[in-house]
Amino acid sequence: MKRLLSITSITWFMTLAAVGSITACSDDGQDAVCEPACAAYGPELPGVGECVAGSCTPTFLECFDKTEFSTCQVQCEAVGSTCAENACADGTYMIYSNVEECKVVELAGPVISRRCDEAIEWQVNTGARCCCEQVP
Amino acid sequence: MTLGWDEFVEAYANPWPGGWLIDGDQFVTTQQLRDIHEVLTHDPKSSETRLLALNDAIFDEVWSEPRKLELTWCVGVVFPQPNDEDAAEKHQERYERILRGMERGTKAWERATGVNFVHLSEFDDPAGGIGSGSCQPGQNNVHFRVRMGVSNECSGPCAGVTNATPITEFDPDWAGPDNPGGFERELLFGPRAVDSEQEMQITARHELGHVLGFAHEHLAFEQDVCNEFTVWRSLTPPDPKSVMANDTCPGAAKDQPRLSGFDRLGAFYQYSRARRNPLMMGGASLVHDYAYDGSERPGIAWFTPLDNAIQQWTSTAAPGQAIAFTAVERCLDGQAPPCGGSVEISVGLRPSPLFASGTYNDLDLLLLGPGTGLPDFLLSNDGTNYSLAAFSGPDFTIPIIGSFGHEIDDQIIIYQPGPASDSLFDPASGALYPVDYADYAFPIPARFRGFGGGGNDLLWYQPDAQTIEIWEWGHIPEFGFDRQGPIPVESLEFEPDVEYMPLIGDFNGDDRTDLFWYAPGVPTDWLWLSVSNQAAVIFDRFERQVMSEFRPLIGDFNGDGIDDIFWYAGRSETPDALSVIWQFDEGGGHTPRIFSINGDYAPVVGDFDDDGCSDILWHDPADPDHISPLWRCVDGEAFACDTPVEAPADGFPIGTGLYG
Repeated sequence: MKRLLSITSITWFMTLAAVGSITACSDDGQDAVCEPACAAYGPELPGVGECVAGSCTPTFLECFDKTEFSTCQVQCEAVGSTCAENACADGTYMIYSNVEECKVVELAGPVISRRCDEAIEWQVNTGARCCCEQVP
Repeated sequence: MTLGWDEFVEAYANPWPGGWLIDGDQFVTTQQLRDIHEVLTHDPKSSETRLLALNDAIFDEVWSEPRKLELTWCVGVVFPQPNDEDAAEKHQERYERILRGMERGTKAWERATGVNFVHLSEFDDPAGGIGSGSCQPGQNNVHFRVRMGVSNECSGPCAGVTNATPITEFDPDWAGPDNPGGFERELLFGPRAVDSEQEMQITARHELGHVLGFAHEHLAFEQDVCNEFTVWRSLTPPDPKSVMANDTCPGAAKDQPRLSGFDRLGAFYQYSRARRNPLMMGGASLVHDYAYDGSERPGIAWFTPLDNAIQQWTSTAAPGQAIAFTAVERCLDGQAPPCGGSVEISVGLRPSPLFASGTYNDLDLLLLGPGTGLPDFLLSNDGTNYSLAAFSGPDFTIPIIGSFGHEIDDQIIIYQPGPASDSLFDPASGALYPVDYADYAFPIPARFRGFGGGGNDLLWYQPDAQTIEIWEWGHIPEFGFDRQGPIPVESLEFEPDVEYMPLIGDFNGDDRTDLFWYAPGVPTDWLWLSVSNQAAVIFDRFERQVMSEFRPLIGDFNGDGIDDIFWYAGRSETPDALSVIWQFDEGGGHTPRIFSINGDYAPVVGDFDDDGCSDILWHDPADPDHISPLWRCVDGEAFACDTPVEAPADGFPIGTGLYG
């Protein structure tokens, strides 16, 4: 009965859903019992976006161009989430040469530590992904 | 222009020892003046042509490779002579002002070019009377004399003038050991300069620009006062901020005792040489130094154009042993010694080491002869033999050497600064690939992204606008790249019009090239540690402060696998300056080690005993016996003074120069 949740899990889920910003999940190796599953970043950055203590940790969300957003606070809010400062492999955003590079799944860019409301330091680059909370 | 020769001379030229002065203090030889007249009166396109050196279709006016490390000078007569107390005070004040102007001016141009001015202070004789006593050009290895003008030689509006320009380097009519009565190379200051610190600092830089072969810049930009004629080849866009522009001319920036960004860039183009950077290749090739004989032993290739040869040195020292070299003479034409060939051509060639064929242990040489009158060569080296092949390219190019492909061999970007199109030449295939950088900038190949695919990155630093662009070389197609930037100036936190010298090295030992932006003097310096990976080039930036003016050397001076910076200051140039090594650590922090170095050297850094720690050959081009001290790093903690070595006479150590 893969979709049968325990009372404990339901309680967790309801509590977290009430907070409204963190996706509930299972960290007992049975991700499928909880939908949606966490959007783990992948083996390049273990721990990022994975399920920890029943919650999905923040992860690097979608790629965007420097002309679209200047801070991760604004970018995360634009996708209905909240910026998680230095919470993804100790970074707030991941930088890429450009958006096309960013969309290459197996390519992780350098992880940069900054405040959420601090302007993204692009230097010569034009693509990025911000570290945002995972929302249901 | 329709003037005949006599009328032209009457209108535009004033006689000066060894030639003529035009446009105030621009020295030309009689042949140059005739060429100018010819261009202006017979060439219908002359008004469109500007040459740094005269458009004689032969070569640019620059010092040869050996001479550029040995621009020796001393101070002759300074007025008033110290005949009484008041005169002595004035005399000393002016002498010291000349020294300050020359020392700071020569350092500024040295940082821009890699040339080496050497003050032979033991021959200074400011009180030596009108004949300048012991300071005699052409004698005692003194190349040119600095003194005050006598009578009306340089007075009134004349702040300075010089005839010590490169065009006469090999002219036997000029003073030398065999011709003590020949024309004397001199740099003269007038009262306007010696009585004002500001004027002296401006004038010394301006006249030293002429010494290096640079023409007046005010002729390059539009104004209607100082516009006699323009016959010089421009190296950069018209530059009103140039120290080579007379600031009495409309549009020229006033009272700036500094080299402009484009001054430094043009000087870099003329005197700095492209090269494979062994520090950058360490992780891939296991060769941290240049090697030429086919073994993995590090070596030095000395370019000796007066002999049409290369003196190839190979280190024989094992780790922990005193450093010694074996030497072999090899002819530029690939034949066995004694070497033949044209010295007139050889002295105009600009040598660069690169890995074009064979292995990284038998590096090859690119020999570029800029201009239409000089050939270009690619000298292939198999460790024991040279073979010479013509290298075809535009007449005036700035080669950029780097490993831009999949492997660790080198390619050459044939860069023509400005709008002209550029190309990448791959020696392995003989193929040319179109590339283009349309601005005027310093090209700096580096491994910001480390190893792991793709080639060197290429950073372009435009020093006038203070902008940066980076080319990131990719996997597919080969020699394809992403053009990133430019970084807007407001994002860089660089100060406008401040000199930044980009030093490259791996300053935290993570196998990625970092940058140290050295701003001599008070302005903030910046350490950029690369945190790049294959997806992007990006830096963590840290403020640093280096207060004095140094000649920076890059090496691993404690053998910890992390590059360090040796801030070298010769006490003979700056008596109160100490040299210091910044030993960097894994976090990009540093520990200073202080040294006192007296001499004015052209150092060669290499791990000659192969112990993983950089040694220093303190090449002393001005030493009459060519004896150079040798420092060997011992256990990463100290330097041992090994037996000094005798460098080849009139030799230039290929691959040395600016930017690490």
